[in-house]
Amino acid sequence: MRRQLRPFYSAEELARVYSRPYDHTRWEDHRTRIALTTRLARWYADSYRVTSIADLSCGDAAIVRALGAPERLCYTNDLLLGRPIEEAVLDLEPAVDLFICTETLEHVERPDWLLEQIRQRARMLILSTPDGETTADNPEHYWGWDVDEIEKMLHNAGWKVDRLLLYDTQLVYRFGIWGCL
Amino acid sequence: MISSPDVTVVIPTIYERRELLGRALDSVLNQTLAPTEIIIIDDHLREGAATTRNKALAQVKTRWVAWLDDDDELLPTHIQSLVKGIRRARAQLAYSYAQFVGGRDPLATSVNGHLVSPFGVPFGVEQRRHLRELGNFIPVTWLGETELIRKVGGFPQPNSFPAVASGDCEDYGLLLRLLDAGAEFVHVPEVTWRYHFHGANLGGRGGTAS
Repeated sequence: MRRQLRPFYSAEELARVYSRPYDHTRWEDHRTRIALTTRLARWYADSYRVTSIADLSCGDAAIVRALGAPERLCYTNDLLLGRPIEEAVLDLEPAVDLFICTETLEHVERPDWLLEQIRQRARMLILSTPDGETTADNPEHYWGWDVDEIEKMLHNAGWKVDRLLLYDTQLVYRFGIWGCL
Repeated sequence: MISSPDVTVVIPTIYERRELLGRALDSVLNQTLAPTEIIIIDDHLREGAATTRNKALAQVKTRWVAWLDDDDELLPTHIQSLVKGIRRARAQLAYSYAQFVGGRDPLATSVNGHLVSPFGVPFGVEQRRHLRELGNFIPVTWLGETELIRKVGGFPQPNSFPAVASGDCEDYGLLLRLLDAGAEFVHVPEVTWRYHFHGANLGGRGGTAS
């Protein structure tokens, strides 16, 4: 299942929709989701001797900060001056060991293209996105999809799914959290 | 690491136990045989263990499901050992044994009429009778056949099934349902997980040694 939940926004509409910086600590289920994703990312970082990590989403980069400096080189997108991930990813040079892309893919116009661009610049990927979102209740989300569709997109972009963690909050939808090689 | 064992690990939890959950998740990630999926289900509505486990069960797509409570942890070979055991015995449920941390081993089964630790005791006629007549000695950290568990109705609500200890837990009720359905159980005589005693579970589990 893959569904476009709303038309893409204009620049003016985007500024209005994203007027407030993302802060994951505002929601109980997001705090748990971040904690679980951080555990998964740390497992990859430790198991594969990761020395560089990137998170170029316009979030609060909580996972990278939990795993990062001084042991690892970290690339983040500044909260205030940050550019859209679709632009920032093109400047990621050299490639990194681990790319963190959490709760971002459903916000961008070209998710398949973004996964391909990350593939060219990262050895591993931690991805999280809602599983089973079918309504347009969240004004920030362009896309709704399920696990099968996400795994198809990952495969097409050249990623191999290594681990899958499904976090069911029993609220609106599940969170799918993938570790990919 | 060997992959694709066709197993989903389910971890029910509640928000307040997030720190414990991290330890449980790490133990699943460190398995020598990685599960196909890990489902963490939050009992957000406080519907109880039976309902929460059954909701997770409905989401499982693999042949086998392995249960892990959020306050326990698996040792690295847990899934590998149980999958090997259930395949070899052509059984529908495989259970191993635990290392008990912070308390005394509370489990007992019958052998020649005496209560002994279940560790290393093959599951036979006397164990079947013990389960039916004396109580549970198989904590829920087992691996079982998903379709059969669904077919028998999953986990019953506590106090909803006729048993020697009718107030016993939902996992005990499911074992009785599986026995009634003719399921074969197999014991894998290895210590493959850790049971942690803490403030909320000091009463222990299942059948207790006298």
